Amino acid sequence: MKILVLIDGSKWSQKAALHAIGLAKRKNAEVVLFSVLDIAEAKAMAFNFCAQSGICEQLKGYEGRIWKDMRKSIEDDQNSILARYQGEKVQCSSKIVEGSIREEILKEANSGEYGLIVMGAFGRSGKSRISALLEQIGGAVRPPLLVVR
Amino acid sequence: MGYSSSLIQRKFKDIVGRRYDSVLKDYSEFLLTDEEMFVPEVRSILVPLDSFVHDITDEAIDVLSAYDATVSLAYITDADVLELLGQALDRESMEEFRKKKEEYGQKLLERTAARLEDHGFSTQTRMFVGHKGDDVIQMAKNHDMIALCRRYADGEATDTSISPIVLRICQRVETPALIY
Repeated sequence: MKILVLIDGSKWSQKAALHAIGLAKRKNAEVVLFSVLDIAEAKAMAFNFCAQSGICEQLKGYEGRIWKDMRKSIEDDQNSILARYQGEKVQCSSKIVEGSIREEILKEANSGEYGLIVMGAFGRSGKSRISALLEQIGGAVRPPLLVVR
Repeated sequence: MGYSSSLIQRKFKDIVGRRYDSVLKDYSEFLLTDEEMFVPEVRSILVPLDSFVHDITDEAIDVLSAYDATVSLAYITDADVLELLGQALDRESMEEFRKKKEEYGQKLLERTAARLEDHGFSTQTRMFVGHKGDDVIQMAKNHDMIALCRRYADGEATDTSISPIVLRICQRVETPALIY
């Protein structure tokens, strides 16, 4: 079995990755950590910050910095999880793609390679509401989807 | 230092400095404590069934087989539907509907239990009249995991949508949820 773990930088996706370690060991499975970076998110963050701070002339510069930080942050997250998997002797690799989050996840999850998709119950908005991602992909992902909390 | 503390410190050390502890408290909703990092063992799995769930998929059984767990199958006949039928038609029609639903439920429970037992699971079954969302959330408190068909409690779910009851259950339960 091959397991796809969705990593979005939230604590819940970190926990999903931990839960998948046990599963991977019991099923002798390979794990792929998967993240999607969406430029629209960097644009929105930069625009809102600059508009509220009255520094719209620096918008492009902020967008570039946020985009760079987003990539570094998700790379750091994935690397720390990879180290954990290596310590547990579970075969694991990582993948970061750019594009629409829903479309890229569905493309990967429904590629026919995976027997299970694992994600956190909540996203980066915290624990106040169920992950918007679950609403977006829950019905369209073909393999079983494990929602960890 | 635990993995999560190290993660939090790595992420926030440059920003908060000595205010690390207060950030940890104020923003706990976004951070992972050591207690929350614990992945509990799964010894019992709740699998709700209804007339929209015809079977457990082979893929879901394969995932569940990773846990050395007892599976509790629960078939719930919707109390609100029965009440509506009683009001709109008569008590006799309501009873007939309930009887037919329960006959179907019994067969579904037996068939599903037999299939799971063939895969080495020990099973328990339960059937009752209740509320599919609230009762499942309540029952989940006595289990370590829940496995839900994405169409559970919603015949209108399409190939690309998920039942709103399933989403509500996922929001409210404290256990991992497998959606198949």
